Amino acid sequence: MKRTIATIAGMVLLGSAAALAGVSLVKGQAAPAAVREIQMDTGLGPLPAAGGAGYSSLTGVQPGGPWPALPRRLKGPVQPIFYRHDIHAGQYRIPCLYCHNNAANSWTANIPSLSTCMGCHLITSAPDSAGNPNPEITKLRDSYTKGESVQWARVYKIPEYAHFPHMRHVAAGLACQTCHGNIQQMPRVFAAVNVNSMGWCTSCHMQRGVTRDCTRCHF
Amino acid sequence: MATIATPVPASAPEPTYAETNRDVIATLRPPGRKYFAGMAFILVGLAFGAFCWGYQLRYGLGVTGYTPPIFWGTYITTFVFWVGIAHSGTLISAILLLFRSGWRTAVYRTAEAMTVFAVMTAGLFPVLHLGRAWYAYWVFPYPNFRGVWSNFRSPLVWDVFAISTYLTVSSTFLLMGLIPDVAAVRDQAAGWRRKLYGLVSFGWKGSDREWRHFGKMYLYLAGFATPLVLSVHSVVSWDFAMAIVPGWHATIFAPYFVAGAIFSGCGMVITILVPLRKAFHLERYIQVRHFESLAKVCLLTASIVAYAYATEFFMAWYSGNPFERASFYNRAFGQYWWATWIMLTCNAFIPQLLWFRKVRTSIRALFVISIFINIGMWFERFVIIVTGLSHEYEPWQWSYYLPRWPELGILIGSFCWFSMWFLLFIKFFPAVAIAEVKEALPAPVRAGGHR
Amino acid sequence: MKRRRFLQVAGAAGAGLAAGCSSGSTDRLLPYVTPPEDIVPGIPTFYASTCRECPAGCGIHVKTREARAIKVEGNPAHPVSRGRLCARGQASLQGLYDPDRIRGPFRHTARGLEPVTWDAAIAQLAEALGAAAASGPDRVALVTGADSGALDGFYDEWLRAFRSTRRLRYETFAYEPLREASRLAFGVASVPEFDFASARYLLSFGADFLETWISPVQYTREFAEAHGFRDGGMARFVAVEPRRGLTAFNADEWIAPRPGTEGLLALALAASVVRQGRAHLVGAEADRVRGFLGRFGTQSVAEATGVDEAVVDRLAREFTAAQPSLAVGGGVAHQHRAATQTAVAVHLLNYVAGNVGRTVRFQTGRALDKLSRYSDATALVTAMAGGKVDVALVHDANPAFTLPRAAGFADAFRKVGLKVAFASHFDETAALCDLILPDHTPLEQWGALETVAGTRSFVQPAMTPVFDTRQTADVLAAVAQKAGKRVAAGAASARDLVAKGLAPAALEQTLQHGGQFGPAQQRSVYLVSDFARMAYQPPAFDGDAAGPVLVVYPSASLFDGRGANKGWLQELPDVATKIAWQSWIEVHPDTARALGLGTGDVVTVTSPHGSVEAPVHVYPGVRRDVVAMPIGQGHREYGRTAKGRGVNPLDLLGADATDASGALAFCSTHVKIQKTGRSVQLASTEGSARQLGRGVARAVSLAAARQGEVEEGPEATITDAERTAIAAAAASQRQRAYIGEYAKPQPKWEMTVDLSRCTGCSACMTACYAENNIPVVGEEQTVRHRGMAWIRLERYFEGDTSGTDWQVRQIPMLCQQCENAPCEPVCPVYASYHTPDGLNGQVYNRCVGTRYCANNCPYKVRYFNWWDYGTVGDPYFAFSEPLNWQLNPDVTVRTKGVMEKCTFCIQRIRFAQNDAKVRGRELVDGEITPACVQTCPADAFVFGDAHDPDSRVSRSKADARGYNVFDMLNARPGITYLERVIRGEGA
Repeated sequence: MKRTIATIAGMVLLGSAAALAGVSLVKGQAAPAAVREIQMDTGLGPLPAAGGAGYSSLTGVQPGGPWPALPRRLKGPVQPIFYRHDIHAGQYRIPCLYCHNNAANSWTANIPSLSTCMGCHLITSAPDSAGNPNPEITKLRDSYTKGESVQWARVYKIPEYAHFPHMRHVAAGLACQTCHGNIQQMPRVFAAVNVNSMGWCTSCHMQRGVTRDCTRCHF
Repeated sequence: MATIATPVPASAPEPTYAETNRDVIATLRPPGRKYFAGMAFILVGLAFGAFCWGYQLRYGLGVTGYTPPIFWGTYITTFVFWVGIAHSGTLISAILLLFRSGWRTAVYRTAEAMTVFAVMTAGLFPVLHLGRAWYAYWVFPYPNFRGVWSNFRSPLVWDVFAISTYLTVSSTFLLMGLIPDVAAVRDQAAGWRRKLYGLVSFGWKGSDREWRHFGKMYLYLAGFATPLVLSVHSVVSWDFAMAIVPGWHATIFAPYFVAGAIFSGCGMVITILVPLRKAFHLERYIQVRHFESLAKVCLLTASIVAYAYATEFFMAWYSGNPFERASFYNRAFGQYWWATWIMLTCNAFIPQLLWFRKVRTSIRALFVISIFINIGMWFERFVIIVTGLSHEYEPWQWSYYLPRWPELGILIGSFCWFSMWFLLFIKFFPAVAIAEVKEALPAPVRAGGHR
Repeated sequence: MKRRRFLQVAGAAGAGLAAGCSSGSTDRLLPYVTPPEDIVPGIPTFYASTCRECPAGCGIHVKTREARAIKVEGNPAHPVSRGRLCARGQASLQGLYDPDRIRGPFRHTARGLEPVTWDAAIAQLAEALGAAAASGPDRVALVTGADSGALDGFYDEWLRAFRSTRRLRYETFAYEPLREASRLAFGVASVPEFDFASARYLLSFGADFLETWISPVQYTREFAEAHGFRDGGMARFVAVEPRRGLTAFNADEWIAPRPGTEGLLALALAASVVRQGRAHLVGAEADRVRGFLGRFGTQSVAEATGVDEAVVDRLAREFTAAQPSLAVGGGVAHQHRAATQTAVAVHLLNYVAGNVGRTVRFQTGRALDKLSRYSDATALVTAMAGGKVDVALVHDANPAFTLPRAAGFADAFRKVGLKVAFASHFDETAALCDLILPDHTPLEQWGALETVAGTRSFVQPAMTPVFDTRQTADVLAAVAQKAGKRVAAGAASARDLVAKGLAPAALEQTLQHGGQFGPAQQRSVYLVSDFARMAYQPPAFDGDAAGPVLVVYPSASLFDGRGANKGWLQELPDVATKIAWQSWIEVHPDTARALGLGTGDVVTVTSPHGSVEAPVHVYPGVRRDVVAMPIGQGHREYGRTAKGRGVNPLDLLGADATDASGALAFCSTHVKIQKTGRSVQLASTEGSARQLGRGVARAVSLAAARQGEVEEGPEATITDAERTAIAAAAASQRQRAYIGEYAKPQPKWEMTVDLSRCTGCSACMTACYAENNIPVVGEEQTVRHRGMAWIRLERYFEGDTSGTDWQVRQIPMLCQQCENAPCEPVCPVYASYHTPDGLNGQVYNRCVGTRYCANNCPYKVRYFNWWDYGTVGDPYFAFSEPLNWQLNPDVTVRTKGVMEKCTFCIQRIRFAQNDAKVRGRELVDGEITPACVQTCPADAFVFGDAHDPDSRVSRSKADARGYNVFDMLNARPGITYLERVIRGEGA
């Protein structure tokens, strides 16, 4: 009789241990992400209330000088035009909201229109030493003159049953990098964060003690 | 309870230990043509059931007959039906063991097997009836970092635990009890079978020490299983009693359902034992007195169930609650009168025949009655679920539901699924508890034994 | 916000996706080349325009997202609609995105239908017109709908350019009797302006002014103003008609005279008024009137009408006692051979009661006055049959369907050399045509309507055309040019015509506003001296008098059949019978019993002019000697939704059955009803027509309401002890429940519904379909009670329905957002849960589909996705291209196997909250309006934050008439209904 009880108790213990392990395992995954993202915030220093939000935080890249070298392997989908965030956002420190201006006042951030690009690239064609215009920019100019849009490959897509108010997060003074990763260091954009995993959202909402009411995003 | 056990009638000469082994293990002989024919038939039915579910998964629950506001129908009915069936097993093997009623020995193995397979069948339905069955696992409280959890206030979550617990315990109980018998089989088997049975019997030798431990463990499990008999179906009944649907929201549901469960269970045991006994010539082991005892249990529980029906109707009237009254009036005389009267006839009236010894001791009569009981108990759940929902608070939303072919297909499939396991079982394990039958026999006397 | 610019939607479709909105998934994002300045992806843009679904011409705001129209709402600045809209208006979107629309110009040839280029088509037309014009005058016929304003003038001018005056402004319901009666009585052939709002006593002689009559949205609003209970008072409404429809449902008393005798009854009332010395008449006129009315003794009238003389005298007394009062008549349903006399009689009654000039006003110039009469239409048919027409152009009309078949339009039309259809669908008329030049739908059009005197209501495109269509006026202009004619000073397009005489800035400003809404100038009228010559003779009816009289009435949802291809309107249960998708014939229970008929039995209805088959709907709302059928179904052509569905009762009417005004007599024949032996299941949403004292929809008499008394529901059976116990339990429960997020100061969204205002028009249902991406499930599923409408109109009969003395209780039933909701605890996965701001949240992506919540919901307002309505390619996909363009990007499209329900348009709540937060402002009470609240023409809903004591909802909750449905369940609903008030006799 005693032995039987012992056995059962043992099994129970084992089971619960496994469960706990599972939990801690998941936690283990969550932790680094959280930490990274905290640093990014503090790295920005105090943020000006409205305007400052959404500016790229500039870690490591110096303005001017030669363009940052390309890594051997590029992550992320190939784009019709090889637009380099590491140059625009990183080296030249162009604020994210300069191009993605809707992020501040709409639920959805926008892909900048070609006219926005041309604002600068009417003037600069980033010529090489020989003075030939940069082929990528030529592509841009061609499609602009043709009045054709550019078919960018999509990087981030939230499932349709989740609604994400960009403007709220910008207004809250969050850095774009919080969710989009260190864009200013990406020659080609890749999904630094799986925005489709609800855990990503909730962990952040938990840390900041903001609402986790389901119908804030799901309706 | 103990009174149910009747003294062994001085019938045919008692079989000896050797004969017992021989006769029972004979059931394990390589199956004949009939067996395979039956199995083939069953598999076809099962395949059709599977097809129906696939069809439903592809196109959605629209393929069923659900007519809002009747959102539950055949599936939940059948679920409760099988859970009910599952109860006699544990009752007979556990409770009657504790009550020391001797007659159980012949029948409890079958009953236990039936229990396990019935639970395995019942367990399918909560998943089958889901709108998005592929997310069924969400009802389990598993660790995730989305911060979502299952709702422990929901009776459906209680169900999850009740059913899984019951499955674990009853199957443990079954395998436990099998050990000595499987050992006996092992001793007669050869080749891979010998190895297999050796494994399942945990190298049982039959030593006094083993018997002592076995006895204790068995008793312990019996004690452990007993409360489950009562709890599991109570929990299932709360699926309804916890809801505010008129005709569901009643305090008597737990005992009412438990009684019904045992009733239907014993009915099913009879339905299964009769052909089994005939097919394998086990008349000497599964005797008429066993059936009679089962019949008595049926009679008792049938009366309890009938009383419950009466109480329901009385309370509906006595409460003065207009919604309850309307619901029960509709139950008896509304669109679903036919279902209600089938239920009453099969569960309340027909079993009254069991008052007569003649009926109780006639295998043929018992078999027929047991069939009626099975039908009646299925309809009991149908009546409770469907008539309740069809006539709720909001008069604008009253409607009428009848099952459609995919539902019936899955219903048939579930019976085939159950029978499949059962047929496999009786070909691999002794359907009668050899060891315990032997206990009931006079010990063999060797010539020149000491006096 | 409500800027309008004609959009360059280069890649607008892509922009929708670039905005990452849920209108579809893609792996490609197309940004604008140059962003249009009034589009911010993710933020809606509104365009003011005018609804063209019926001649009323309500002002609308079209909500667009990423350059696609996704919702239509009333324009608050517009004098007709005042921000409200009916179901048909809401459904205009489905006309825009109808997958069955003609996608480009076509030509009918021997080989059948073949596509043609616009230029070729225009050339062909120009040539034919030139030839026709050359061969003589009036060889060209142009049929249009109820057009007015700039374009209307253009059409005439254009026609003149081709030496023709054959212009038909064709509307099925043209109110000829009313106009003619006005001429006969007052010398002004005009549809008067009725002021329901200030009337204290209403008499309707068969005018369905809450459904289709003249201007339903405006009248519903005004009716609710007058008849809704406020500060202890309300108007009384008595309906006089042989069939009780939605309008008469709202009546405090229903009087059912013999069909055709409404006019006689009106005269008797007038006579009684005079006899009682209550007439507002003086001098010679008084004598003349007295002399004329002397002929109508109550005795004889009582016999003829079957209405007791006492009743007549009482009504006359009440009608004149209440000042001002209003009598209206001339509804289509009871438009019989004496329709004009009826209208005259009603005018007379108003005159003697002194209402003319007060609640009945005549104005100058109203679009309806210019409408052609039915007789003009038949004249055209004769002309065509006689080969007098070479080219016939049909625009915005479908005479092949809406004229009785006996009129022989089709055959005559075939005789025309070149037949041109400016249609959106291959409807009955277009199918006969040689050239099909698809027109823009109203949401893509330009226009400036003058529907009501004093208003100039603009129509402007809310988006670029969906298909390769052109606005008719543009095509005609091009044709004229091609034919070398100069029309309208060479205006090239509808836009030019509309913009004419307006500086760009002014135009801009006007368009933003929706139009120019000046005051209408009145016109005082007097009874013409020779009215006495008008003799009253009872109308004749064709067929065997033994059979019942057939009443043919316009469907509140399908109107004259133009709505039949819109899923939303087909699925909208008929306001009276609650049947969707089908045709039916209404038969009185006694008559049905006599004929051995039950609901669903298919019968053959035979008149001298034809016969149709329809299922019986046993209905207490018709006299024993009357049967009724709705117009709208029975299309032989038209789109997939309408085609081959139901029957067209107009087939039963004689073509020459007209009244003095040359109007078609819709109520002109007896019919024979024979069993076919077959039977069908009606697609009715009605479970039980009686609420059996369950207190769902409650009403109280005016007298009682004044005392603050109310009708008790079943909760009255609860003892006080129980009540206090429940209250205590609820309180402690609340204490325990409100922790964490829930303890923070939060709004609590609640709603009140004033049943004394709600007319049951069902506009809220369609608005909900539009806002919340609710799928249309079709007839078969509706029969199985699987409709998905989140809000439904329940209609219960109260009292003994064998006579006429019974009441109708209507109640909009939607999720009650219970504070103590039965659906929440039973969900195993928290898909259904309580939000901190007091809603019953429903998380679609979390739902596994146990349906336990629906079982446990006492109000039965949860709807399950039985099929995969939301997935492209699924056999049940409900939004086939381009219908899916209409989907609201802010609302998830639900997949199969999940439960869905109303959450007070939570997307609107969240949108407003986010906006307020970002702008750092507070939410204003009334800022958030769910779709149903927004559109309700009767303004029956109030929505807001119940935690704010000053909010409208809090105040209206406190009303003594307030009650919760099934209160004894202690679910603590968030919706408070205010009991309907019925003003009985004398009160």
